[in-house]
Amino acid sequence: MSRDFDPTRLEVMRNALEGIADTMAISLYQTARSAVVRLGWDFSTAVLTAEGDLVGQGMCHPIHLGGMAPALGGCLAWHGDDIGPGDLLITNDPYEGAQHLPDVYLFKPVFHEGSPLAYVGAICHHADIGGSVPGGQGFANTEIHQEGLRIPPLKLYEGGTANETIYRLLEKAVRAPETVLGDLLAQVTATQIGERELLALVERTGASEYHELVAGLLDYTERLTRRAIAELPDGTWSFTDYVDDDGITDETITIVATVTKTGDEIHVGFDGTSPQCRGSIVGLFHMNTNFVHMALRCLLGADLPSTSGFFRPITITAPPGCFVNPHPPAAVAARQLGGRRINQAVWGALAQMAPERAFACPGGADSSIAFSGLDRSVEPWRGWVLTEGFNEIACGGRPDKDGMEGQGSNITNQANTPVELLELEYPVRIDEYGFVPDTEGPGRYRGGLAMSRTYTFLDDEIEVRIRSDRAKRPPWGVQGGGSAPAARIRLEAAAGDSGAAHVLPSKSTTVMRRGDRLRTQWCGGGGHGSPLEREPERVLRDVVEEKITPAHAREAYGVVVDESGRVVDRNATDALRAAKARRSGRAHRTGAARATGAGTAPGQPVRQPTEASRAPPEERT
Amino acid sequence: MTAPTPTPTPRLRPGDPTQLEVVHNALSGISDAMAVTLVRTSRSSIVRLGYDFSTGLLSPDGELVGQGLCQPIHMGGMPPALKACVEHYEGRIFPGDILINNDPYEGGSHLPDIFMFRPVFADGTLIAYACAMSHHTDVGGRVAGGNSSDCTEIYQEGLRIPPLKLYERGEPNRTLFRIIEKAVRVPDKVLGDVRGQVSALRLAEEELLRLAGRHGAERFLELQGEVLDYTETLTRMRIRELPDGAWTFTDHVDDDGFGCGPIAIVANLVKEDDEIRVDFTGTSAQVKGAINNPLDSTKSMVYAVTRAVLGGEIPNTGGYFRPVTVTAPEGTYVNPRPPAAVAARFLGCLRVSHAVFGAFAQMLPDEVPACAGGADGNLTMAGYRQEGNARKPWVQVEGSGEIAAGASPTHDGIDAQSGAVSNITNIPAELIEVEHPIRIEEYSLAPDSEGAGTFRGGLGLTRRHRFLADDTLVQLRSDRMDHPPYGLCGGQAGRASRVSFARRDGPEEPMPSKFIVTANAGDTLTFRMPGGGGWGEPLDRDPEAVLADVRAEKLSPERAEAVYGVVLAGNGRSVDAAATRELRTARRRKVKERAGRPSA
Repeated sequence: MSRDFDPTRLEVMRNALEGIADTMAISLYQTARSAVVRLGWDFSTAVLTAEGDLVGQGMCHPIHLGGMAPALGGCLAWHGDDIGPGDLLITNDPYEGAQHLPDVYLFKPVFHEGSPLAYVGAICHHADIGGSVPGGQGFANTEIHQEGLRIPPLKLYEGGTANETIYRLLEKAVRAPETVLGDLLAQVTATQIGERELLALVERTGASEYHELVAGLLDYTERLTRRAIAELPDGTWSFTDYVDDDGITDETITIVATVTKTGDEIHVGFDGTSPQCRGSIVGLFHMNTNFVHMALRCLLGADLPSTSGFFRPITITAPPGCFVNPHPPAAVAARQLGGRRINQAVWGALAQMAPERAFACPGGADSSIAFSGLDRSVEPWRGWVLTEGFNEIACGGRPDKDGMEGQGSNITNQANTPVELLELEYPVRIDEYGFVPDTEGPGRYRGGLAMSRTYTFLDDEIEVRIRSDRAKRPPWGVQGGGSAPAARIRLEAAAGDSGAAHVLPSKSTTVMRRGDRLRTQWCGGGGHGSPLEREPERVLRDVVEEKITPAHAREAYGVVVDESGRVVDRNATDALRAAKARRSGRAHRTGAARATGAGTAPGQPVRQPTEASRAPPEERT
Repeated sequence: MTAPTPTPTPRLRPGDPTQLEVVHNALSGISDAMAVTLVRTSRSSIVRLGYDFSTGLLSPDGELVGQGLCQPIHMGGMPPALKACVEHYEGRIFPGDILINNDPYEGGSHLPDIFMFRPVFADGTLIAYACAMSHHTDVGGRVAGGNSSDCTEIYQEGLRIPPLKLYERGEPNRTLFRIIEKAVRVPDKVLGDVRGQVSALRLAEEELLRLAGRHGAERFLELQGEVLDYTETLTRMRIRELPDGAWTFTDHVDDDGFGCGPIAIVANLVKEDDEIRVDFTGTSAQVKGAINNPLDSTKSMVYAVTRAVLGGEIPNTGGYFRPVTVTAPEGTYVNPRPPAAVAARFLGCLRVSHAVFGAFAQMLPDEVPACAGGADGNLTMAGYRQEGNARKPWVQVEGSGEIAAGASPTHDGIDAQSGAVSNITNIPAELIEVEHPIRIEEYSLAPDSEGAGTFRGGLGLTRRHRFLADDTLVQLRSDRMDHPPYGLCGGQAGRASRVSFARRDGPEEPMPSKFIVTANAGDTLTFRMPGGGGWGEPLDRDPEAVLADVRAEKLSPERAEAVYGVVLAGNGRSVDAAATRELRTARRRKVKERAGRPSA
């Protein structure tokens, strides 16, 4: 394991592999057709070993980090030795290692002088995959069979020949075939470029050195990871976060994450978590392990290489049949929602383990909105689908800084789709897109502000499916920081239509008519530290920038801004803060102050994990 | 109306009529043998017991030359499904291939109907295509069974297989087998049935080669052409005997389950010399729900109805279609544009057949029966069984389309009978109960459900299911609540359909005709289907026939008196002839008076 290499050569190899993955990513980005790839950046590229270990990932989605290896694993398990030059493997089947059906994985085996050298992989989230709802992310699905075209491990090309069956089935299955096949061809191209670049690299290094360096890189990643883990305190920490409901029933879903750190290893268990739900807002165990890995990756440092070596010191278990480890044929289309919450529950436990590094809960509402309709102005009518994943869009307060606003989250690098493009391509108008004052989780370092958007629909029969959360259990603060306000979705019927404006639930499907207006307001991030300790000048700056109102400054931070709105009234502020601190102290003694949001953290870490929670999931009952 | 023109002598190609008849029967025989193979080798109850499949043989040009003893509704379905395959694979069709297609927008019907074709070559010459089509238990998609009426786009309805090859030169297309396996809820049944289709096609190939071997490939091709021409000639002769003219009839579908309705289906029938044209101008626009009827299904229905009306000894071949033209404006209910959903199109098919029968009834009032009964229903029940850690899905599909014949001008309609356009049979209650957590608590003829007439329609059925497991998906697609099956020539409509659902220990709540509910153990669904329409005035019905119905408990004495004007005596054991005569005379007088009064 501890082979020694020239660190320079190792670093060069690491950067070369990541460079190849980046080159693939740029190629994919430049040749894709869909907004979700071109603008939303919902894709990833990677280089893997011939055995299926990740050794280099493009500058893409952390959420896809752990997705490549199991998806390739599913392909290798099916095809066995029957893989040759010119093949291109394809899968999107969650039950054979992939994620959800819109995520289609392609893997190209790279051969060097007749021997298997590596795989290059490209995954795209496709604009549609057929199934019960456009966009393939319906929250109300209860079986995988409803979710669209399921492609088990197969070959899209064999010996260089295209598999007509898959192309034809895809073309007929999806609502926007030009977009989907366009993106698929972009993936094919990216894998070809990956192969070309990889072979050029091996020309320089020679195959045997390539293999040695790649193995060395995996070991090196493992060593760095173990070292980073060893620096953390030993112990057990537990945190509970919640999903409002699955959109089918009203039941709250409880996720209990217990992190146990011993020496240079970490175990994360989910005993006490609710049973699996009916709807499709949660993934299978292998997908959820991704979300756990991402939380740990955030904590353990940015300079760890993105390779499978990172996974080795980490074990994860969850009782079969629970929300984190559901039985088949559970539907998984909207699995990112549950996965984010799993990530946040783990994060809550890590925040207790390493308070000096941990930020508060990110905002947003784990939302994704899919719009779809038919363009009846052309013959034949053409379907259109627009999927927007909004992500957190507000960071939680950090130990030394405020949370940023208008951001991707810690687990995705998705970008928003520009308003101008939306309006150009689709029959919607964005009337409002902005920060909402007073929506941060207050804290010494406050969370980022929530964002809102108002859409006016310009055509009839536009179906809008919203999958979101945090309408009942908002993002939590840490170290005494406050939680942010809950998410809120409001629908206003077109003028002249009956029916007053009303609030929609977090998960809904609505058919819009021309002139209807929809306003979404997601959550700000949680706060870090007591708001009463926030520097009054920072509070003032937020007031001046109209991020918070003077009333909110007084109420949440105990800061009094004078009538000019430009000066802090020091004396009034000191008096108000002293009074608030006294009240808060009383509340603290009655035990009501710590739970600042949805999450609940016991005051003291739990000691000694039970034996059961260390066993692999298959052996649990 | 003009008098029938003298019948011309059939123009036949030169050939031996005996040989022609032998070959025609051989082609039908091979089709029947395929049907038997399919039944014997399939796994699903819908094929094995429900007979929802068809087999046939087509000429190299794609014309039907022989059909098995199957579903008339599928008769017109094979040529368009094959045509799309042949167009796609032009020049690339080889011995050992099996073509496959279920795409409604490429000649298919709805997704559960998977068509498979085997090109048969004799010494390198294509001599025919064999076709096996089965309705599959599940095809994936939003609702188990693939029959749901509440899908709004084809994309929701399951795996759409455009023209592809399931086998190429004898090699299976593993990609397609794998994708089918993953797409459907019950892969053992679906792939089992697919293999049943493959067996039927292989059998057909063997038999066709033997038959062609006896005549030589070239002569065999000629004989197929002669069978087609002979059919056409007979058809034209028969059409010529009918009166020329134009007739229109409109029937309605209540609604599409999304509040769109009533949906008018207007059949405009024109008969001129030896040709028939049916056009659907005036039909409502396509609807949101999945009961739209693709044009090929519409054509198929017109062929089936025309076939029933013309009757006689005309062979079931594509020559029969030649003098019949079907047109429908695009974007209508009977010719929808993509991506309209069509999974439950059988409902539309049945109603198209009713409209076309209605038009023929105007042309031939003394020959065509009143409307068939039934609620065009299709009931799907599905759920999961926990087996250890695995949840095993089950799906039960029951087609209960037309379940009572309409009265004819000479006879009562048969009770509880499959209709004129489908030969679907019921699935025995015992088998359903053994295989699935369902108990059939009632399955009976519904008294007083007939359309009254001189000849009455057949009685409808009542069926009550009790569900024995929680979380059972129950999806019903039916109709005929607002527009019951019509009567003719003074005959009355059958009783409108009624559906109710009761929670365990709860009261029966009325349900709409199309819905999905999740049933729990102990809940019940009761489906009271309409009887067939009646023919002629009920007051003209033979009182003894009314008495017989009362004694058989098919008719209540109250209804006998109220509707038929028949007064019974002797505790319902005999007709009070004098009282009956008096009552009927009074009723007729009243009707006449009402008719004579100027309308408001």
